[in-house]
Amino acid sequence: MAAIAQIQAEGLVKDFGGLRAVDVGQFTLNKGEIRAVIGPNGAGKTTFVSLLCGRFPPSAGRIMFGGKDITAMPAHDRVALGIAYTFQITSIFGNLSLYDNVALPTQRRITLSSERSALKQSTMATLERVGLADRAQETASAQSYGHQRLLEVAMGLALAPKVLILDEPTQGLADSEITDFIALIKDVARETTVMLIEHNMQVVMALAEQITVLDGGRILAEGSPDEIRSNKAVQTAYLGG
Amino acid sequence: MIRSIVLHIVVIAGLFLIESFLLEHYAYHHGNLARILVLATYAVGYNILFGYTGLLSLGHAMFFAAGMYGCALLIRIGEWSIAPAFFVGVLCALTLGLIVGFLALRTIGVGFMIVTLMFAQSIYLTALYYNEYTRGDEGFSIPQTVRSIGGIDLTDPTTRYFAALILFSICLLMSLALVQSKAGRVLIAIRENEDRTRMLGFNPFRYKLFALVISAGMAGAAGAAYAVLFGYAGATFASVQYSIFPLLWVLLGGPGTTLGPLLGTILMFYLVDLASGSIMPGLAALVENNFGIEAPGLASAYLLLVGLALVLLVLFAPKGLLGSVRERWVPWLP
Repeated sequence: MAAIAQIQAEGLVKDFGGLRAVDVGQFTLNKGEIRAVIGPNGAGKTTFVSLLCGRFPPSAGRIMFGGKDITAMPAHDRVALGIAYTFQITSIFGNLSLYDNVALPTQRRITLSSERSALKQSTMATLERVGLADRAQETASAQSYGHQRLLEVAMGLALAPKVLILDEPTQGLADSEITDFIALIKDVARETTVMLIEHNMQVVMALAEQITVLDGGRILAEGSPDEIRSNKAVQTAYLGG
Repeated sequence: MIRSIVLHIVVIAGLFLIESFLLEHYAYHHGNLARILVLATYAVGYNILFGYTGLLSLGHAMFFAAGMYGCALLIRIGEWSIAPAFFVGVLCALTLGLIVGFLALRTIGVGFMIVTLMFAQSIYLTALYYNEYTRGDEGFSIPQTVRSIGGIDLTDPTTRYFAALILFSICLLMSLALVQSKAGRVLIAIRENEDRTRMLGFNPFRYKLFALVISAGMAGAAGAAYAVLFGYAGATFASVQYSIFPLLWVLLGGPGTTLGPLLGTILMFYLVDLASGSIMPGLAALVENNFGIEAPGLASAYLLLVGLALVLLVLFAPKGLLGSVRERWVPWLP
């Protein structure tokens, strides 16, 4: 099967004052793949994916989504196109119930006002998928950190996106939760392109089909897990010269 | 869902039923309550923006005044009849809300407070500047003879009370319907976490503008109704004081609760009434008799008591009265 590009970036640059946080020459995310973005702290991973989903504009360069130029498109319109982003720093609606947290992204898709029951059904199905359905009416801020991370992922899933960008989704999860999470993402990836920033190598190796290594804002290496593992430059960046 | 609708119907029915009782036994409170219902309508509108969307406006008096002047000037100068003038008044407030919102919503937080305050000040000063038409601070009255709709005399206390109640009920039920709708869920989400809401695919600017226009429309309806029912329009209603009042009412009753604005308006109205009518003058007399100190300002310093009430509120019930009730006892309260 020939690979079809879902997201492409060309000459993407982001400067914060004098600091060049991201300088990515050429980047392509193919439809249907699971891509891991790894790199040391401060490598520009979050900044890079934030440019893709439109949280802030790039200083230079172009972003294409399914062949369409979306460089100038505001973030909320990109979500409508099918790019969903889940935050690295848990960003949920703490005072609202888990149900309301997930119903909000769900109602983006279900627009007819008569479909109140459809909204409920779809919201509960998403909560079911991440294993939080029995807590639907509890307040989000009262949940454990791991459950809040899962809620964050559920909000992304509820959008039924074409591309799901997960920013360190397993940070703070217990080992048993990580196993469930890997199974969940494998399931999601059957219909969705997944891009995840991840520090946990167990998760990366279990999920990723392709890995992009960022260092100092640049792409240091790209390839299959095996290629990355044996890459000298990557070993140097991670283990120190 | 059902029980919250029932609760609101019960409140409205209660206000309907006590009318004749009040008129017979407490004519003073009857008149007060008609006024409170109009002001509470203003507070309901303010609450949609402040309580549910999380936007603190310090200039809502401009919308109240837009409704009031839009309506009253047409009656006074254009010699329009009440009903069309009322609707034009509301339209003025909606239009002003759209324009101000389009500009002010580019700012957030303190910036939004200052920009709305400045817009309101310019409206206030405009009302003073054109005193040839508005008669400035002194204001003008609308003659009793023209204050009727289709032969129904709006100056009659009972009619006035029911007219105020109808307006209030419409706005209250609209606000209930709004906050329980999908759009309402988005407004609350913006209040809680705007960045996250944007990243779930909603355009916060559009929703905030929507909330502001609805809020301005209700403020304008209250302003126009005030002019029609109480026969007076004056620049005081455009002053900063009338921008602060709805904030206080809503804070007291419970921001982000549909019935909070009514409760807050009633309590604050009577707090001011008691403080300026008996508590503070009594205190001034007490000080003078026992300590021989003359305190001429004390008798009229009712704002001291209002300030004290607000300090206590912020310390012990920062979510307002109904906000605390919801937190502790009635989680389903809308």
